Amino acid sequence: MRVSPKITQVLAVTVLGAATILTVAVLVFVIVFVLVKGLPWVDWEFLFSYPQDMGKSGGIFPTLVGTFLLPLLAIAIALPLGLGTAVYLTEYTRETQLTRTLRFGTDCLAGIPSIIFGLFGFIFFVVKLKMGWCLLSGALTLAIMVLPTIIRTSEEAIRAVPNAYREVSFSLGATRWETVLKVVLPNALPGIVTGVILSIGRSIGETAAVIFTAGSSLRMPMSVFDSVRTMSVHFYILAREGISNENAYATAAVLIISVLLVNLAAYTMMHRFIAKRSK
Amino acid sequence: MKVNGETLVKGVLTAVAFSALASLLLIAVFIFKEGFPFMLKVGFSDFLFSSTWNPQVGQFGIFPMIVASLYVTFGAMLIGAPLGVAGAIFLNEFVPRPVMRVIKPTIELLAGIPSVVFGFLGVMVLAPFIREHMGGPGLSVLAASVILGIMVLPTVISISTDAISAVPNSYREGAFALGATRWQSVHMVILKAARSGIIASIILAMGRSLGETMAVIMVAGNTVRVPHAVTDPVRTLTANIALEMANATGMAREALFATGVVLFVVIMILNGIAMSAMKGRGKK
Amino acid sequence: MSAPSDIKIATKDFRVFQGKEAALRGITLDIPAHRILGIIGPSGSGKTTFLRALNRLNDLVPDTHVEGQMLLDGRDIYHPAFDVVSLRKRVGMLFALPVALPMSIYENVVYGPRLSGIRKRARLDEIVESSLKAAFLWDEVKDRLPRSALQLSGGQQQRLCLARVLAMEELEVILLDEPCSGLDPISTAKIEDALTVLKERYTIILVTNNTKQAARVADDTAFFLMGEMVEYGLTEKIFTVPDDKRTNEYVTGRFG
Repeated sequence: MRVSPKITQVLAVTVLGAATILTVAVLVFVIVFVLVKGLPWVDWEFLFSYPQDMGKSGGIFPTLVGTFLLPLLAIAIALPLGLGTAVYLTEYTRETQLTRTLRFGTDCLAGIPSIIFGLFGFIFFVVKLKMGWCLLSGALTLAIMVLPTIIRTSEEAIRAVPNAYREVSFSLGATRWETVLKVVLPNALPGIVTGVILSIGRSIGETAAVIFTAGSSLRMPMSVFDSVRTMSVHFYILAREGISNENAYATAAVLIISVLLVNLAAYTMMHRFIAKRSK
Repeated sequence: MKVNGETLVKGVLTAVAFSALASLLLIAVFIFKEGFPFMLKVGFSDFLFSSTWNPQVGQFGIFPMIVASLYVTFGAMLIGAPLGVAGAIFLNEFVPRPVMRVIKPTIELLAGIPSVVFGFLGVMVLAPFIREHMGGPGLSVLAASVILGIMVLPTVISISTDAISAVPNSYREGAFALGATRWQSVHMVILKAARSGIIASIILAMGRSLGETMAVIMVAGNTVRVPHAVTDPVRTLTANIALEMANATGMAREALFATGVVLFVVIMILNGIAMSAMKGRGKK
Repeated sequence: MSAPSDIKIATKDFRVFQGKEAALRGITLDIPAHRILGIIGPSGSGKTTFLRALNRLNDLVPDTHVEGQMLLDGRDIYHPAFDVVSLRKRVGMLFALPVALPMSIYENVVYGPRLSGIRKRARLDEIVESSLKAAFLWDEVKDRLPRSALQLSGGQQQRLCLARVLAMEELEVILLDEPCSGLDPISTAKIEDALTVLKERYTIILVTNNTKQAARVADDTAFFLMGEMVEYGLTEKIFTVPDDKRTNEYVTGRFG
């Protein structure tokens, strides 16, 4: 019995379409559900007051600060390393066994689950280097975690800079480093920034790697050697220990909005970059 | 002077370029150093295949956790892979370009939703639903599979879409010229051409599911026991590490690092397979 | 031909290899100062390779190496002690396609001078005006120097590229690689006019696919074929009574 191609076509479109709609619907539901449940509890006071009673009542101000500081410090560490690696791979060397090994290392690092980073950060920074649970331990761990993202996006952005620009720069007597600084990096900037923003987004949402390295103190951090609690960690603790569902939802809403804004920024950045390129 | 500056820059950049590889090695060394001697002490087969996990009295069998991780990951793939690949095909082949340009980035934006949020939703919405309609405690293999299946959707869709849109248009035109319908061109030509990319997306998603921690802790129930039904609660390898980390000392902590070693090795193997699948596509 | 003392560039059995392939098979050539040398030949004849070898841009292409000598004012530019950066400041290059860097018109022109460490605004302004004038572009852009150079037309961009080369104070030799291949006749005429004035100060080497252009502007002409130089002499002679049969066939358009 042969079913006519027309019928299979209709059948396929229906099934595939339904699957797609289901997918989008589920993902949108996640966001809408959290926002609907959480936003009513969010106000300025919630954002900018200190938590009371382990977060049962009061606000999330210290965790907001922690969520802001930790990714920034992580980027401050990862960006010079990642960008330097990308510049080396694109401008200072040709494809060799060494560059293949370096790329392989980057790819492997990208695949490591965050709990392993947490485990490593704990045993290395917290215990071995005796730094304790603190902002710096967390930032160093996150820096290693986002390093592959920064390397890859920077490398792609740098490769997209037309070779003609480099030739012109060299032909005008620029050294390689001058060419990198004056022509390559300025033109790759939007792509590099996109990678940075994506990394910030990932850091904001990260829990497993942070909780074991930065700790979960609810006090306001005064130095990089103080423990911090990010919103993700705070939310996890509130939800898991059943401290307060209202505050958990509200924190989740703030968290989701932060991450979406950051990712949206990365996305528009990338698109402006593409639009500018094609002009 | 200038030449010296250039040499210096190159030297610094070369050193910096080793940062990722060095980090990887550092991580591997430390995890193995903490965990491997423990495995030798306890014995590989006792560690991997014994079902009693009771660190207080020195019993360190992670077999239930290995089984749990496999079940949950497999379940997540049963949900995430077909939906994700179907979505990628539909977006690429059956939806007008402008619509796809809206939907694909939306899905990628959703990839940024923190995993703890998914976990929380699992607890608040999915687990009660399972408890009422299927029995058991609700927090279960099934709940974890569904949540992970949803979480990996953006990964599967994004990478599969890239693989499918990389199939040259001439392939499609060739199929149409022979009188094929859209669907025939998809399942006879395009899926074959994009196969390795799609497989890679699924394997990467497997790696993500296997490595996911926080969401799984929240929805899987965390009981150390080999499950007999999809509604049974389980504890995965990752959950085991995260749950006991805070309090563990001595042998118990080493046991967690040994669990990390198992996880590390399995995920490296999976990523290796995904990478070679993607490379195979590059060569063609 | 000029007297030996006026020789700006001399090559002796100069060869370029790309991988194992020889792109240039032994070029021996004396290029006199303050004249325009036109290099003609079909594509793949090695003329662009020769041009790029003159300011060592071929160094940037992987697997390339050279043999023989290439002397600028009697010094071998491929000698390890010879500073490539200073070479490129003395020997400027104009590419086939105009490549305006994605920055302002002003910044494009001062790119070279800034690299040489000129910081004073007044001095840079001066350089911008004189270079743009010499490239016959000043009148068209003097009111919009801070604007993006990418907004200029192709012909204007190519003249901007010329101005950018002229802005280098150490400049002695100008290399042009089919600079008019993408341009309309009017823009082409402006570039050619600029060249005839510029040869008073510089030595100019012009690679072109357009034999008529060589006939119009070059004082001397060299004909390249398959990586070798077939013939070299006064332009008039090459185009009227060449010694070699192949030259004759090429300039009269019977092959190539």
